[in-house]
Amino acid sequence: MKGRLLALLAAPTAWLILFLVIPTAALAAAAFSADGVRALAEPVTWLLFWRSFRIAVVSTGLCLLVSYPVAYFIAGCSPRWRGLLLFLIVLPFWTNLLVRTYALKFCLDPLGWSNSEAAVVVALVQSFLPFMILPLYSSIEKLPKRLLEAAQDLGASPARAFWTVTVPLTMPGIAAGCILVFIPVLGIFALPEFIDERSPMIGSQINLYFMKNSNPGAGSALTLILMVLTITLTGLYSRFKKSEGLV
Amino acid sequence: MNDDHDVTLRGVTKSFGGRRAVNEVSLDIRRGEFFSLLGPSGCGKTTLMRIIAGFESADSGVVTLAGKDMAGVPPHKRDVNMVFQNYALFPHLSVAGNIAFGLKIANAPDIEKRIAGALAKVNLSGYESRAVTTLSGGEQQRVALARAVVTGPRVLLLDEPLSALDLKLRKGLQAELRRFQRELAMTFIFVTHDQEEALAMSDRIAVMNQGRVEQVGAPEDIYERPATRFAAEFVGAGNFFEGSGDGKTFRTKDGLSFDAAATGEVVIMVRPEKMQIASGAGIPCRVEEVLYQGASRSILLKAGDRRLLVEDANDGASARVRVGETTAVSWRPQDGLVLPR
Repeated sequence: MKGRLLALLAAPTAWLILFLVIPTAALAAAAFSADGVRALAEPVTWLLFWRSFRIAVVSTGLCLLVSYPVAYFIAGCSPRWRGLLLFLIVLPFWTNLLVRTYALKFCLDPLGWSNSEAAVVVALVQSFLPFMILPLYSSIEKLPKRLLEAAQDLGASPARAFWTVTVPLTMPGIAAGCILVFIPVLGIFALPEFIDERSPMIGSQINLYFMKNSNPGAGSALTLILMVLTITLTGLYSRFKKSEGLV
Repeated sequence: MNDDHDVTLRGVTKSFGGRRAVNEVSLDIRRGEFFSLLGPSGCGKTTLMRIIAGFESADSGVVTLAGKDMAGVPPHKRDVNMVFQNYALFPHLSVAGNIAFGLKIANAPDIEKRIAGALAKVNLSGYESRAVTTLSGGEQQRVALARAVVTGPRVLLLDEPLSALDLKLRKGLQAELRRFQRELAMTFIFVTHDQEEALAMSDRIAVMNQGRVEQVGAPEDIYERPATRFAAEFVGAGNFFEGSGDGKTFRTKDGLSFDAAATGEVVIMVRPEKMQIASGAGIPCRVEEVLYQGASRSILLKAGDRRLLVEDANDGASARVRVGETTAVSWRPQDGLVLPR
């Protein structure tokens, strides 16, 4: 019995060691090289981290603002409409991200809107909207209508009921959506340069170090910092989820 | 409108998809009264309550609360609170947080003191910091009650608040709820499908059927003098005889006859506990089944093709009947209640 279990686990373990543990170890080793340490001393690195962080925060916030009403509306529709609307939300995934970004650029160019950080944010928001809408929808849809009625019955205006009941009870969805948007946006590359060549983010810099400048040490150092940030955020999120006792 | 009436309904009608859930309902609910809306599921009692709370709006008719027309007044501006069927406690708030909810909106002073007072009234002192999700059904019910009354609403609506609890707990809470209502002297509108519960607790009952009110009255009126066949059938058990009378003798379609002061084509109903079994005078019948129930015996009789139910108090006075025996059943003429067909 135990032998069979070990045999079953052998393949996935080997896979993980080969494609996760070894590359990560190699990455860490390269990060602590002379090149890596030098890259961290460069002010441009921290400027890019700061820009990425700022863009990720703003895009996530805008995504949340746009998505909440949409998710709320869908959750209130009849089951038939819900299915159709959710399908429409997921539909853009059938097209490649680059193709969609090109299309958006063609829309923004005539408006004189591209080539700005704002345009990058707009592109990011539209690309990541489904990642925010879907978790929000699933937690709003689970919210019992009775609780909103109880709040109104006790004297809460619809706005007050929203802030004191709906928002706290859909916090798991809000947190999940924010994580799902924030983390990929923080490390994104290619998309920002498409929209505005002068607004690179940290992901673009990593790409540059690895692909063009052949400086894997510097690329690894930045990647490692990005990984630590991501893992910390995910860790905070799962702790929050546990303390809420919801979901 | 009368000052003594907290809630008045005039011709209130509400349809859902062409079906009239509430049909021309007119009621006057007095100040400080324990008023029950009683009926089977789907009779419109919950819809009527939701119209009073403001969660549904009537298609036509007038609802007034303390003399004021409630047309267009949203739920949060009505001086009415509700205890929901499954309590609808806020899972993200503690017991104290739930009770404080309405007080905070009203900017009430001494919130903590009032929470403690409300908890004491429902026998949950010291429960302030508990999470509502860890409470038992009975405790959640009490918290819901405390949350609804702490702001001192004019009228409290209760939507089958005891139906989710087990029988023993329910019996205990009936008496407690009645005492609670008397102490508060608050108008309670209690929705239930449980006729025993309505009889035991109410000052007055409105029996509802298919969106209409069939009868309004004190529990004794409803049970002893039902106005319609539905009211007689829904509240308590009964033996029904369809036929015609000449003022002295009543003849049923299946050939039975007995004394009754009924004239014309009517229905006569006799409650099972008002019937006596004694060989000799009365309607001859055969004992089909005897169900011993401790305090009483339910005796199923067959008179011709007709089945009769007799409730025989276990007071040692009546002789024991045996299954298969031939005997006779009789009742005092005044115990035969005359109902319209």
